[in-house]
Formats: sequence, C-alpha cells, structure tokens
Amino acid sequence: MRGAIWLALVLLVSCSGPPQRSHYVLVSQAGSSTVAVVDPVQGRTVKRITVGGLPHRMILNPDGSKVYVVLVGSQAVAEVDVQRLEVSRTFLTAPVPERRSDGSLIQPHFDQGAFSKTSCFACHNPGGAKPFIVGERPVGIAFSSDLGSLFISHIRQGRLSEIDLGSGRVVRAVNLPPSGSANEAVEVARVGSRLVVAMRPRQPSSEAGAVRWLDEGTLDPLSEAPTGSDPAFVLPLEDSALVSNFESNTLSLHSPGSSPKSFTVTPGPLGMLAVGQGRILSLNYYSNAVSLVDLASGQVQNYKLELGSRVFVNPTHAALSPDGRRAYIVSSGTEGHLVVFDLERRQVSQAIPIDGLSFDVVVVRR
Amino acid sequence: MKRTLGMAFLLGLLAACGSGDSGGGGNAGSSAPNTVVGLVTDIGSGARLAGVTVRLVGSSRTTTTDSRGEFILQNLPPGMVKVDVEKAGYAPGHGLAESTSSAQAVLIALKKEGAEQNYNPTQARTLFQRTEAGPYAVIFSPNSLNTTDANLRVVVTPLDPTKEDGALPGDLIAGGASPTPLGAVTFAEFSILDSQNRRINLKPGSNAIVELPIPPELRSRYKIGDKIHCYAYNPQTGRWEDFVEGTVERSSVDGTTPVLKASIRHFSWYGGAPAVQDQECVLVVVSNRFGPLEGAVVTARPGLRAVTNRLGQAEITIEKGVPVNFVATKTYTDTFVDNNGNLIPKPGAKVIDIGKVYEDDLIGLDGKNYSRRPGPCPANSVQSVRSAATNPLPIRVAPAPEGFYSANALLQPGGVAIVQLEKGIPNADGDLDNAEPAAGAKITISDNAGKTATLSELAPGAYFANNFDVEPGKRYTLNIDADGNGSIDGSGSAFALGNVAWSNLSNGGSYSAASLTATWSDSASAQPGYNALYQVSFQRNGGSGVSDLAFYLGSERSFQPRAQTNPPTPLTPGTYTVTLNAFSGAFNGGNLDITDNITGIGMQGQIFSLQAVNPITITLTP
Repeated sequence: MRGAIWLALVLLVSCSGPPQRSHYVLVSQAGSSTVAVVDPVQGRTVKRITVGGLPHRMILNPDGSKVYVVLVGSQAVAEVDVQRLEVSRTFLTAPVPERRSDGSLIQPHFDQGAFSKTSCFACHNPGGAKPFIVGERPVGIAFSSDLGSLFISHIRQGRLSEIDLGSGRVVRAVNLPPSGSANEAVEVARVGSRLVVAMRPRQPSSEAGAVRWLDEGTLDPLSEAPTGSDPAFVLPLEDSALVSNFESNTLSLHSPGSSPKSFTVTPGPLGMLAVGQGRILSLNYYSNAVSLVDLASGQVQNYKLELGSRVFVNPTHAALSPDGRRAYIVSSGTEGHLVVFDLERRQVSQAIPIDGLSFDVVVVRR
Repeated sequence: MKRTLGMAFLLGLLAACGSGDSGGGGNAGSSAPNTVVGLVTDIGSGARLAGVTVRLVGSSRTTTTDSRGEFILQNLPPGMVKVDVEKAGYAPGHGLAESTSSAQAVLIALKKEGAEQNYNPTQARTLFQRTEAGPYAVIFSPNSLNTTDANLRVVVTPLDPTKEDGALPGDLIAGGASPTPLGAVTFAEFSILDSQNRRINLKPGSNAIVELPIPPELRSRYKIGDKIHCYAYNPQTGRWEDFVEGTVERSSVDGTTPVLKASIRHFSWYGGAPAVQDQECVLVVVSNRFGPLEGAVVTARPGLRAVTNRLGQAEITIEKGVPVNFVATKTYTDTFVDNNGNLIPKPGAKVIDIGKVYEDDLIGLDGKNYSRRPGPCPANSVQSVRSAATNPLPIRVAPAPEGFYSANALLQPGGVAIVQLEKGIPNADGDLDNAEPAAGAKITISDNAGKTATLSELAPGAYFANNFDVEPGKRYTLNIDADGNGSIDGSGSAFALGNVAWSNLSNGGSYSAASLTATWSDSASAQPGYNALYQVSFQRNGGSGVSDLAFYLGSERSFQPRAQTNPPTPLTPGTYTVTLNAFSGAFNGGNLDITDNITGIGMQGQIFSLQAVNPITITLTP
C-alpha cells in the first residue's frame, strides 16, 4: 500500500513539470480603467492598478522593467513600473485640444490647466468631466529601434506619433494619408528599421484596408499592400509582418515588394502570438477558438477554448509563459477569464476570473 | 410601571405588524431549494402569457406556463440557470436565475415580434422594421446565410430600452471578477426562418450589417460619429458577447435617423450598451406588508443584481446620474402567506412577490437622501448589515395584480398632471375590453429635481396632482400601485414639453415655395435628454393633389416643405394652412401610434405631453 502511494506521488510530480519561474500576468481591463495583476499560481487577481480610460494594448520593454499601456479613452500611454506594480508616468499621445470640432472654445481645458496634464484621465474619469472617453483614440504601440521612444497609432485622423521616453513628450507626429477609404491607423509594429502600419476604413465596412511600410527615420512611406477591411493586429517577424484580418478570417504575411501570403483560420482572428518553431497562435474572437499556424508549411490546426462543458468566449490577445509551454489568453466576453492554454497538450488547463471586456496581456517577472 | 406597560404595548404592535422576525431580522419565508419559478408577460400590455414553452438551457427539460403565466422548475443543478421561452408571435425570450438553497424567481417579458418579410438569400437586400424611433434595418450580403433554402422569412423586432428594458434578455452586465453595468442604448432581435420554420444564421465567418436607431431620448447623448459598444446575446452562455464597436451614423434607409451601425456575426438579440463608468452604490431595502425580506433578488437597470440580507437590505451598484429601474422579486414555492400573515404549506404553489421602482430621483443630489456612495459596491457588500441610521431606498413587493390596468397620463406644461386608470381584460391588440375605472390606486409623480407628490382621486379612476405644477422641459416619472397593495405595478416617464412656436412663419405671411425652410423653436430644447416629436403639415386650401401637401414628423426643428414626388419638388403656389403639433412621451392619435412608455406586470399605458400651435395661413409664391 505504501508503495502504491509513493508511486502515485512520483507520478504526480513527474506529470506536473518543472516549477514555473515566478511571474505575474498583467491584463488590461478596458471596462474598469485598470490593469489586473494576476498570480497564476494563486489563480486570482492580486492587485488592480488604475491606469486610465479604456486600457487596451500593452508592451513590455526589453529589460522587463516597464510595461506601456495604451489608454484608448484618455489619449495617453501609462508606464507601469514592474517592480512596484504602480503607474510611474503617463504620456499624452496627442495635444490637448483648445477647441471642439464645431470650433467652440473648450473653456474647462483652460480653467483646469488641461494643457499641462499628461493624461486626459486626470479630468475625464468616472465621476469627473464628461465625456469619459476623449481624444484621438490611440491604439497601436511599438518601440523605436533604439528603444528610446514609442510609436503610437491613432484611429482618429490616422495619426502616428512618436513619444520620446526620456522627456515623455511627443517629438514627431504625422497624419497618414488615407488609402482609399482606409483612414484609421489601427495598429503599428516595427520590423528592423521600418514601421508597419495597418489602416482600415471606418467600421463596419467592406472596403479594403491597407498595410503600409514606413521608414522609421523619416516616416516616409516605402510601400503599401491592400488587406482585409478590418485589420486588427500586426505581429512583427524577422523581416516581415503578419496581419490578422478580423472580418475575412485570415492572417496575411506581408513583406515589402512581394505579394502577401494568406492563412485561413477560424472566424475573427485578432491577437497573435509567436510560440516558437515558426508557429503562430492566432486568437480567433468570433469562434471562441485558437489556431496554431505553421508559417513554413501553411498548416493550420484549430482548437476550441473549452474546459469541461465551459466555453471561453471572445479571445483577444495572448502572452507566453516564461517556460514557453503555456499561453495566457484573455477571454474577453462580458464574463472575463484569463485562460491558460497548454501548448503541448493543446488544451485549456486553467481559467482565472478577470474583469469582463479585458483586452491584452503581458507576462512580467516577480 | 406605566413605562413598562407602554413598552409591552409597543412590542406587541411590532410583533403584530411583523416588522421583524424573532431573530431580529426579516421574514425569510420558506422556499424549496434548487427551484426556479417564473412569470412570463407581454412587455406591451403587461398581460400574463399562458402556454409559453419554457426550455432549460443545456438540458431537454421543458415546461409551459400556466393560465397565470407562471412556471416552476424544480430539482435543478446549483448555479446560474438559463431558460429560453417561446411563444408564437413573440420574439424569443431568455431569463436567468440562481439555483441556490432558496428558490428564486425569474421575470421574463416578451416583445411582440415585427412583421415577417420574405428574403431570398442569394440577393443583397436591406430589410427594416420602422417604429417612431426610426428604421431598424439589417443589410444582407448575397449568400451570407448558412442555408440553401431560397424562401426565408426575416423578422426584425425593435426594442427601445428607454421604454421596454424589461424585455431585454439576461443581465446587461460585463461580469467576471469585477462586474460593471452596461447602459442600454438600442436593441433589436433578428430571426431568420426557413421553409421548415428552423432558425437560420450566418455562415461561419460571414457577417451582416445592422442599423439600430438611437432612441429620441438618448440622441443628445450619442452623436453622429460616436462609437458605441455592441453585443450579441448568446442563449447558450446566458451572456452578452461578441463585443465590437459600432458607429453612430445616418440611417441608410431614410438618410436622417441617427442609427448605431455595426457588423453582426450571429442573429439573436443584438444592440449597443457601453460600459457604465460613473457608478454609485445604493442601499435598498425590500419589504412586503409584513416587514423586510431576506433573500429577495433586486436587479437594477442600468446596474447590477443583489440579494437582500437578513435585514432585507442589499447594496447594489447602479449608473450614477440617470433614471434607474429597480425590480425586486421574492418567491415562496412551498408556502404562502395568508391574510393573517401566516405561512401556509402548499406544495407546488408558485407565489411571486414583485416590486418595481423607477427612480428618477437618483439623478439629483437635492432629492431624497438615500444611502449611497460613489463607485461600485464592494464585492462582499451584499451580506453586510447597515446600521439603522441609514436611509435605504425602499422597494415594496407584493403579489403581481391579477387584473389588467391601463393608464393614460397627461402632463400639461405650466399646468397639471392628470392620470386616468382603467381595469379590464386585454384583447389581442393589447387594448382593454370591458374597461372600468380603477379606483383605490396609489400614484406618485416626481420630477428630476426631487419634487414628489401623491395624486388625489377626484373621481373613480381619475387622479390629479394637486398643488403640483408641471414645468416645461422637466422630466416626470409616474409610479403606479394600481391595486393599492403597496407595490408598484407600473411606471414610466416623459418630458413636459417646452413652449413651441414658429420662428420664421407668421399668420398671413408670404414665402417662396422654392426656398422656404420652416423653422420653429422649443424653449426646452436645451434640457439634457429632452426630445420631442414635431408634426408639421402644409395643406393648400382647396387643393388635394400630391403637390398641395407636405408633411413632416421628426425631432428636428426645421423642415423644407416639398411635395412627395420623386424627386421631391416645391409645393404648388397658393394659400396654405400650416399646422404644428408637438409631442413628448407616448401618444396615440393624430396618425401616430407610439410604443407605450408605462410598463409593468399587468399594466400598460402612456405618459405624454402635447402642444398644438394655432394653425396659421400663409401664401407660397412661385
């Protein structure tokens, strides 16, 4: 009997794998102006960091010390200090306007000293000035080659801004010319010394979007290719960029000067995650599923996000665990979950409650 | 000694009134575990609906509502229970209740479905259903539906949440670790049926475009170009899902109505509901005539759901600064309370106490000082016990009325508020047959600044707010306890009209038929949330041709009179009688048939304000 128990313990230990390096998972929770700090070992949110209005995309700097959170509703980026798990700075991504679109003066901006603020959330917050959601709607984010600045794309006016991380100020901004009716700059990524911007028409639309390559130094356009009407995310690769086309259920691989290569996945591809060995995990929002895409062979394998009888709906973005064996996936339904997807067994192994309508996720060291 | 006797007398009174149970808390009653009882009604008439098929989601169990519109499901698994309900002629309904150690009630209001329209799915088509808010449209691409059947029927059922939010399925919340209310803007249900009456959906990966009018009352809040979060209801999960952003644009059907335009992937209930950012936590107390009730379920719209503690109290998160609908239910499935306050065992009985409060007063800080604090309620606040010094928002529950009531309420700007209340049996059109005046009702009226009055009954069924002046441009809310048993049976609200007058037309004036744009003013137009419908007609005296008449109905305050020719042309020169009428709220008459805005269980009706500007005579010149 004792031998059987011992054998069971040995089996249990051997099945549980090596211990995970200690880490937290940060999730942008758009509905509550917060970033959740999730401890995957405890299986719960251990802290909520108020960052600003409609936090969406997040990126981690290369040394792992800072996370930058795009505040779609506050026309700003929040810098989160990973060690302290606090907002250390915020940066405006566009100037605070003096006038409304009808030309009338926004007197409260003068009265409240709005031009010296670093986030519109300082005034436009729950219980504060109306409306809550303001500004040019920043969405995409990418580091510059020297890691000294951030490029931010905006939906309104197709604006692309560069923020110097030293001063925290916008040092360059251009309004990108539309491509046909595609005038919203929904995403930006950097491939080497080139920027890749995804442009889309105002939604809903069936007209084409565009993938535009820019010179990072001059912001001059280099080339452009059409894509689906609703490009959602750009994943930078070594010398190309993978674009998810939300409405046409495809990922398109773009390289300057060559025709895009297309991969069909299940409906609603949004976020993408490189999981090694040339494979990409596509988060397919409308089909409550993920696809593993082998870029070399073109093979696509689809997996439902289910655990028992429970379906985890509307996946948006994912991040890789430090050991590379698991993907943390945001299930962004009105009942939110951080879904742990075992990349070896290719199934959901855990689901941790988070806020509904969450969006992006990064893994940080503890 | 005298003092001791006095205390004993007081204690005796308290016991007789049943204001507290022997443990010092509320009256919990007795209820069967893992049981859900339900009541299904018509959102338009308030009538209880018999013979409705009720299906437990995720199982093969079904039942039907009885002659009182009620059903019971017993021995359920613990946790959230989802039910689908179906009745011919109505859009599909869905309800949620928690199956726990005590029974809960689910109230499901069904909306009469829109007209069926034929559709061949190989074609590109725009199909729509029009209401006073505008056209609710679905735009199909060819071959986007998952069928080979060429003879489809499309049903679009509009729902204006400012009047009919009780018919929205499920809880309108972003749940998860930290629930957030969603604020309803505009909704519709889309059903596509094939030749065998099976529901058809889009092919995987295909989409359609929908356009949902912004309700007139919300147009000052949502402007052209604004983005609004959209969701589809998933009956399998009981949640609103597939969040995407829609955009407020002009309707592609009529070119004028502001609509929420969005891409849809699954046909079901669909609509726009942004997350509520400005929240507050309100303390409510639910009681019946015997005292506070433990275990009552309170839902708020916009807001969350809560269950009362042993003092009958619950903290509930709501949206700050807007009118909030509170609905409380308490059910007793194996006992009932007799007239003497005794709990009588009655296996299989379905007793549902319901209370509703439509609280405009929460808008203003100068209203009743209900206990509330900024921000959402703490996650564990449901069972917290507040001190007696607090002032909770009271919600009185009682059995839903057995009769059917119809209310007709007039807000006379600068004058009085008058309510006519009738009782009868609703016919197929929702009107009352054999209607009689309903005496003994308790009706209150309040404005959006905290002023409240109880109406006096002048004659049987005729109620009048004494010493309560209706001010132009203010929003007024009626809460009606039709049978006088203490619980609110129906409620609704409307703005009192401002003073409406012509801006650029005068009696006897002469204007160019080709260039005239008639404009008018409304003194209340700047009030937040205010919206009025204006009806304008130009009729040439003695003329009856198509170029002798121009007509406008809408919420703009200008109109270019044109003959209804294709393309529209200037009116024939001549002498014209010009009329201008203004309406606010729900009003039937004058070629208008607008959705009722007083709703409740066993109740329907309209609260409205109207003004007819004196007709003028003008001359249109070539």
